[in-house]
Amino acid sequence: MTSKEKILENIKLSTVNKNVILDDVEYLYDKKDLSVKFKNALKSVSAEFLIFSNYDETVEIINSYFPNQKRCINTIKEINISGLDLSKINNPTDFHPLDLSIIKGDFAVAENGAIWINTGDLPDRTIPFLCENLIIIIDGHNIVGDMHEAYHKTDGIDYSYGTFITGPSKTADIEQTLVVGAQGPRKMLVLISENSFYKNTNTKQIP
Amino acid sequence: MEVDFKNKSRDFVSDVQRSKWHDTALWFVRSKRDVAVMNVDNWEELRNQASNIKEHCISNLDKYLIEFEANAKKNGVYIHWAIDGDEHNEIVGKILKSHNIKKLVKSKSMLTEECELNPYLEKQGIEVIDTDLGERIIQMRNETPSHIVLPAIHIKKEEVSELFAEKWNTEKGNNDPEYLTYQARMSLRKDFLSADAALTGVNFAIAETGEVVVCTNEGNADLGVNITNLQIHSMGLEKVIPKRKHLGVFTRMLARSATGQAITVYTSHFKKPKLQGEMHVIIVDNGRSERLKKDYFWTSLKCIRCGACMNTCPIYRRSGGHSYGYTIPGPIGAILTPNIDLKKYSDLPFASTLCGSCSDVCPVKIDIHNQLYKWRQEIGKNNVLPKTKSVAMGIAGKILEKPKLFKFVFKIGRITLKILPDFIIYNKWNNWGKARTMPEIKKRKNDKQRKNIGKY
Amino acid sequence: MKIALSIPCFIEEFYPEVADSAIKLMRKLGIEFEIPKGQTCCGQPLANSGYEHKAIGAYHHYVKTFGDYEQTLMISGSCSYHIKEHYDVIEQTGKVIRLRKNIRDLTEYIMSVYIGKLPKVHFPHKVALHTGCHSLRGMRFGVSSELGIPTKSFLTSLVEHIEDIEIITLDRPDECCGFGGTFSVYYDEISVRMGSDKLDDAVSKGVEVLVSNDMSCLMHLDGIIKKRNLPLKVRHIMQVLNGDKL
Repeated sequence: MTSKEKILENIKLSTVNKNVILDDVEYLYDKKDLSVKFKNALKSVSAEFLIFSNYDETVEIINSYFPNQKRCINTIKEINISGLDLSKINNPTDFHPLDLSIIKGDFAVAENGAIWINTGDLPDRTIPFLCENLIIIIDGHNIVGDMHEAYHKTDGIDYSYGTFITGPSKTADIEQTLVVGAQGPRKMLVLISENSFYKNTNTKQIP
Repeated sequence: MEVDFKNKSRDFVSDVQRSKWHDTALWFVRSKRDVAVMNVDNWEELRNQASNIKEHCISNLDKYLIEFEANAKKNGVYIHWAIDGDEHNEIVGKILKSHNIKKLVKSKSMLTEECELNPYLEKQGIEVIDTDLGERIIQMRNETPSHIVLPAIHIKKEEVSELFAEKWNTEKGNNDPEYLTYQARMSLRKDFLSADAALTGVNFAIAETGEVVVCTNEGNADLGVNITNLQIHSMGLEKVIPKRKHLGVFTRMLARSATGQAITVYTSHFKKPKLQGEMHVIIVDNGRSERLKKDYFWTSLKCIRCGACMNTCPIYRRSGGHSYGYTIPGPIGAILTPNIDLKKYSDLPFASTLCGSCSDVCPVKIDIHNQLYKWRQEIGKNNVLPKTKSVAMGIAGKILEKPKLFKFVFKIGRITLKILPDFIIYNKWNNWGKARTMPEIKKRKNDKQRKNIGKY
Repeated sequence: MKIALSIPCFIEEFYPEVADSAIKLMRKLGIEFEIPKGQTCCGQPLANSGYEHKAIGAYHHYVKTFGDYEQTLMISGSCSYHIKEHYDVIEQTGKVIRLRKNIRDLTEYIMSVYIGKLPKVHFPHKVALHTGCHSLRGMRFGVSSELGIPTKSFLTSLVEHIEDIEIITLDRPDECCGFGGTFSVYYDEISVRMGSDKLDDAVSKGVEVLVSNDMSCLMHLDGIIKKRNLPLKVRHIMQVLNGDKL
């Protein structure tokens, strides 16, 4: 008998007479003041945010917000900021040190400030994590109320690796003192488009 | 050797300043949790759902594990099954060896602590770096975690500062957590960049899609997994849940319960390996399927390892996690350990006032305090009562030296001795008097007098 | 309805005045009741020590003493909880079922039935209320602070009508006092620290009296108060409601 067989056999013996029925739960999605809630949530997780109305504007915002970023990865072609030439880099360790990464978020969650990133689709999976500063651009109209809706929205989406990112990395492992900037980015800026020009195609729309 | 909670916790609590500091730090986490929970509409309803999903899943575990394995394989993931900790370690060792791995970065995983993976790999000449800051601190101190979410909660910043100064030559006497965290970041960066494999724990595994979900705050799991080409995820078999949509319930509850955050900074869904990468998931039993057999105690498998029961437990907060002598301390540890060795851990289920705070704080509604009570009965029936208690019984003779006690025992004894065995009456008062005065025995009114009191 | 008053063993020996105040209050409220003879112990200390199997005799004795009454009122939340919750291990005869269903903590009974009819009393003191954990989380007499809704002690509603009382809320209003039955002896250092922490909290807020529906918690706290000479007193809520002077 393999370990797998032994384990499954033992489980079968153990769960005889146990069968708890799974309740079917319908969720009422929160639709109220999502933008306000999302921004408040971002504040509470030490993320910063700015509203923008067109991509040209973002260049100025980024340059003034993070001046002198020598090594940068920009994954958004509409934003005219040049960065490292990814085609010339074979190994993510060669990104290091990485000052700034600019990526797109698919949608955001109002209750906690989380932003869904289809991390597997990025040119390299390390991009949101290896950088000192992270910029995520999102469509301000693409905000869901809570995690129930967030999972509904991403249901059936074929990703290889996806992450909810909620602010810069942090730790409180030394005497419960919150320190922003643990192993991942030390600063995070969310650029929120309040025009609906930025359509994302990767998640299904909820009627 | 039996775990001697009595003496270890006494040592801890005797350092008044330190134990008060520990208590306050954890109460602070509990208070943050209360605020976070208050902000959720109908937290109780969420608890009911979480409990139901877990109970359903655990009572159909074979089905969901098979489904998980099939879907993970479709995603190109290698699945391994380990009957115990040793087999788990061997599997990890084999995978690493076949890729000629010299350095492994690990994010927090209580399961690998349970299996004692680090010493096993180190013996094979593989360097293992724990990358969660708290875990890194205790790894460098050659200690075990004292808390499952806050592994270094028992260590003061001054001690961290000394440790870093000694190992990394950082500035002596600089106790600023921000400075210290930055120094750890710099050191760990080097480790990430020079590692060639990564291992993480698993918070949830989804049967429907074959993905595993890992929740962290520091970003260490994602850094490790993505920098290296070989990713290994070790999961206890109870981590599987039926569908992706159930993550909605658990991701809303886990961080709120654990630290008072609305969600962890990173909630990462690993489904397929990256191009040219390999992804392995090890499903570990290590006694879990046996635990599932137990009629009453099986629901302890619902645990999602949030640590809320530790933060709330007035005894844990004043005793420190190391007093429990097991990877998972606190109330949940006290109901898990008797499954492993009833005699060895027989002190733990008694280390509670049965106040029930752990059960009320538990996001998946494990009735921890009731299970503690039931474990006490198992221990009593099997006659493996811890030494501290049987010794206390032995001191019964001393009672005769104290007239007050004797009078009490005599009086009570007159009516109850036939029903109550001696030990309970005798040992009860020995330790009472050290820091408490004895209550005075008073003459009560007789039945006739009582008949008339309050009558006008 | 035939009502019995159940007086816990430790109240009978150490705090008979609490039983007397309860009796007086019940008579003022016009509650007809009997005090059955031969009352001993509900068996909780044994069972909580892992010796449930040896407490069975005590269980049967308790059922024998109180099983014929339609309602048993006990001057303890903890003991009545034990009977309700843990007398499931003996044969569930009609008497046992009725007892487990109808046994109530006297304080909770008075609150539910006589809340508007309590005698007018004075208690010009700063008071902190302590609900025993078995009453709070075992029988849900109040709302515990873990549940995500505003917490409330059921004792508040019983004393808030007293004009000159000043109710003070502790920092951790429903943290366990550290008694826990035999826990207080097995792990006396932790137990005493828990009690001391609560008392320090009370003293720092100028509390004069700790009031509870469970005399066992107060017995433990009072032991520490006396040993440490703290400026605090303990009172069972029956004494307060009956108008006993401090």
